[in-house]
Amino acid sequence: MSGKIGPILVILIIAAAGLSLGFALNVPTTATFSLPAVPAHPAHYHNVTLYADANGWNYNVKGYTTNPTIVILPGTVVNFTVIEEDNQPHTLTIAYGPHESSFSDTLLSTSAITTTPGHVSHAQAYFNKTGEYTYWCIIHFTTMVGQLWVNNSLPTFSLPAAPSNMSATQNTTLFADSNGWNYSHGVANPSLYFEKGSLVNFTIVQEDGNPHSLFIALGSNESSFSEELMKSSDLGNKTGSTFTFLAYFNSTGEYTYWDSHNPNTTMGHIYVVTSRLSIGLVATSGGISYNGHFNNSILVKNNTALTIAVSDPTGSVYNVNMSEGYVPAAGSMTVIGKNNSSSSATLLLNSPQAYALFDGFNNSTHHLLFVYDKIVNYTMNETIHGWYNKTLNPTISVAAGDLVNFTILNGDNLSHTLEINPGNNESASSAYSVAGVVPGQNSSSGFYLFNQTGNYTYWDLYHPSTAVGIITSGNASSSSAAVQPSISSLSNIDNLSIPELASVKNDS
Amino acid sequence: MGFFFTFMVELSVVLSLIALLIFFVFYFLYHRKSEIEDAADAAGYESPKQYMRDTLGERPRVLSISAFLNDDAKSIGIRYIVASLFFFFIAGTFGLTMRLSLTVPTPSLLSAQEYNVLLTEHATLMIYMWAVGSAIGFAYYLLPSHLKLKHDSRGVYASSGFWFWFMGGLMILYSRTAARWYLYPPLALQLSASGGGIDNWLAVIGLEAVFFGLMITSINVILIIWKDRDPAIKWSQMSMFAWSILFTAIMIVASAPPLMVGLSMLFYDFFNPIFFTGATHEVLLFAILFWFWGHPIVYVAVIPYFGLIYEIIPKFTNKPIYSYGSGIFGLGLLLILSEFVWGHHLLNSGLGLAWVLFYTTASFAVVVPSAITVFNYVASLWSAEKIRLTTPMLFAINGIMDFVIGGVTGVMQSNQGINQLVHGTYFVTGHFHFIFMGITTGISFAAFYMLFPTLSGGRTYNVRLARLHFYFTAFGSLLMAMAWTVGGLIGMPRAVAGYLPVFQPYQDASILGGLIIGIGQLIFLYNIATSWLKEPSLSLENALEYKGDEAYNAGGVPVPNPIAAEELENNAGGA
Repeated sequence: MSGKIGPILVILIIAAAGLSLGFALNVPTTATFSLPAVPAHPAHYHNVTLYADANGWNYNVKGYTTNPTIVILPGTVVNFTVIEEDNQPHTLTIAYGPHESSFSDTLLSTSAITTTPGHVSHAQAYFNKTGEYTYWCIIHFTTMVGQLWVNNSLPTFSLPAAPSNMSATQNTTLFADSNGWNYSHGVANPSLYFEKGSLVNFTIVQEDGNPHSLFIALGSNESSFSEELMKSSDLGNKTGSTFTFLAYFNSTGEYTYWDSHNPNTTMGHIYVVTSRLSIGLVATSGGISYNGHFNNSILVKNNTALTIAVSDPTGSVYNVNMSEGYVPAAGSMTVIGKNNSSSSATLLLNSPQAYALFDGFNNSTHHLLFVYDKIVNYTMNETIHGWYNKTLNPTISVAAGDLVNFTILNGDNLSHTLEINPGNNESASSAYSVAGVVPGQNSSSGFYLFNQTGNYTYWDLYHPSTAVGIITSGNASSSSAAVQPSISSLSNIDNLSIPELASVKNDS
Repeated sequence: MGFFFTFMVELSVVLSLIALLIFFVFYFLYHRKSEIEDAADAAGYESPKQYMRDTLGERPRVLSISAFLNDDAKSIGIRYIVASLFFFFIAGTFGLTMRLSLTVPTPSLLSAQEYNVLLTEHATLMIYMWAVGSAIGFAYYLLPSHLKLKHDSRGVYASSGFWFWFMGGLMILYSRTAARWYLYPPLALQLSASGGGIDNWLAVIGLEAVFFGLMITSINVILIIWKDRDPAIKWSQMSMFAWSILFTAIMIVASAPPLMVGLSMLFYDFFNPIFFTGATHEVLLFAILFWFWGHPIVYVAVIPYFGLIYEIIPKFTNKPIYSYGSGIFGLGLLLILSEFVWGHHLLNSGLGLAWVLFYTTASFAVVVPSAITVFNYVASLWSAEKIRLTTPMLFAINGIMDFVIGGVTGVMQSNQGINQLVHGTYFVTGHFHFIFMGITTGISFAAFYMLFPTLSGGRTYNVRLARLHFYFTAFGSLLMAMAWTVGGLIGMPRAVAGYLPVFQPYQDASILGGLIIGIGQLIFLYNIATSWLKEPSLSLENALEYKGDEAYNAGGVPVPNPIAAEELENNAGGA
């Protein structure tokens, strides 16, 4: 046996070397998958722009979805435009199937894309087989990977059907012009505000004799997930002809409408809001009055389109300014100015916030505008020993977005105020004086809006050492359950109608 | 997730195979342990380890299946020698195929990707599995005799070190990586046919496994030399080979961890590229982590063989080497300098003038220990009354000559001007093939021939065929490497699947050289096969291990045993 070890060893060595060589030479040398050649006259074209970033395709590019899903019809030639973003080497590689695979076709290599930020490279690919494809960068395959679906029909977006027996609640007229909707009729491509549940009767007027269509999609951009509400044949080419259709909006959010014949010039937005509200202001030499007063509280439910109209009977100079917080502040926004051609403006108020509304030329008075999720009442009795509601200096629970109507009762006939500031400690610089009583005054009330989660401190300017407590502001989802049930005076008046608002509500 | 799924399935299959292998080895170990305990009991020994040492320890060990099952040092040595021989022929076949594919300037026989796979596998397997593997094999095989080990108790660690190394080599082979042996990202991270290879991730795991094995082995070897040797052998009396292995092991322990960390980071980058191609990356970082190890590894691949030359020369000159002390000093200085010259692999990557000056100066300083070593060899030969040119001696002399050529072409590159000129050309390939063929490969064969009577159970090899093997190997590698050196000096780019027609003569010459080497190795295999079939005729004791190292004189200089000249010749296979 031992004599045979040598020959056996030699045979094994030769076999191992031969098999290893065969194995090594059997290495896959070319991709076994490739997309079909691009035909001269494909059925469809589709343009896709991708920004190559190691964190993901289109990562952090404004207006673009990260690793977008591309949906096309069979027989489409996709024109890829890849723009280098981050100095990193990237490839554009495509495989058939839902995942990255070594059976892939690299459309653009690292040398084609380069590592020069801003470098633009192009590639065409033809897809005639339905199914799910994956596109990715072979260097950053965990982050830069997206799907491409070749479907026999494109997924569509459509507005919901209106309830039967419902009649139009609103009329909107748009003039179809290649330069923009309503191009020569005031503001071009106007933003439209509809209340949730509106059935809008659109009237489109042919303005310039060119073909026009009207598409609508959810989101802030034109998208292939869209509904064609008006075809070019519906409107025709005859100047002055009209076409009317109904559109029902029952979910809030931002929509985009455009004319597919002029997508760059005819893009406008539709905001579907919970409610619409109009208020009328009067400009006077002493400031801006509302309902005859100069320091009103204006309560607006969150997700409301607020239309502000100003009348100026005396011809005074005014600016309607708004700033965040309880007092007029620098960096305020001019909503309506004396130089504006229009004396009204519409604001989309979609996050809880307190604003000061004032005259930019005379901010000695101001109104408070609260955008709230719900209104809560809370009453406390105040003495020199502290605040009292069931317990001394109670910890009050609210939810972020709550507008609390605080009422303070004067328990010892001295002077008291209710100061509230964010944080766990009293802070005179960031406090807002919600309410205050003086000797002889029994009660006072005021609003405070909790627009962020975390702790707030409430205290009394005159008795800061004894009268101080904490307000915890939780997530809105925790809602009123976070309110201590023992506090009986805390009631939810969300559904109460507020007379001063109802009186000013009208159509735009 | 399908990619991940496939990946995880592949990973779990590999891990299961490893686990199965470990269980298999454990089972044999356990089985063997009980057998040894029984045997030790029967022989009246208290301690099975003592029984092991007395029965296996320093005694000659014949190549047999049991070498793969027993965990004493010599069995593991045989394991390494045989495994590294396998990998030498595998990687050598790859090398020869690469040569043959370059018969015409345009890549036609092999595609560029196939060429890249062969190139990478040839380099990686030759360095880690052949050069390092056979050095470790001779260390485990020779040290018990050279140091008269008083116990041999870390066999399990030694064995696990071997299996890690061996499995790592198989993984590298299976991965068919095409990312070059230095695995630079981002190429190494591109798991595609046109990138680093579809399964390049496996090469990274495999290399990490090789490193685990090497670390275990190195620490074990250091402990063997430091703790386990016979107290009668003082540091100043250790064989030169033991010294060279000690330096090598220290070098591995000192230099491998940066790349082990780098490989882990590289592997993480497959999932989440944050280290080398991510947003806050530095591609050069991996190159630095690599070459911090990458330079010492090439010294790891030659220093043990320098030690073997010191052992071989006295056997055929019948006198001690010229200077034991300067020999140790030369190798020790080589160890120290090896840690300071890695930057010369990155001279053209923009290190800055200050670093370039530092690394070129340090690289030039390597001439000093190299010259000490070579002069020591030459002086040993010069002062000998009679030199017997046996096959191992021929390999040793040829190795010294090749080292001089490879060393001179190497030190030329420590001039930054010349370095820029020859960077990326066959000049570099020629430089290290002179050394790897002359020293690493040649001395391995020399040692193998000297051990052959023991390994084969007392048989002699055919001296004429062995001589033929030597001449083919020596002349073939001289022709191949010299053609590369000259071609490279006029600008022939290396590591590419094709070349410009102007370089045709140099490529043809190197192809001829490669073919000659290949034929030589076939002669070697034929010699082994036929010699093993002969009847045993010699004693099992070989010259490299047992003759001439007993009588270390008081001055610490080893002198050969005055044994009968005929026996020495026969056992060494000389003519």
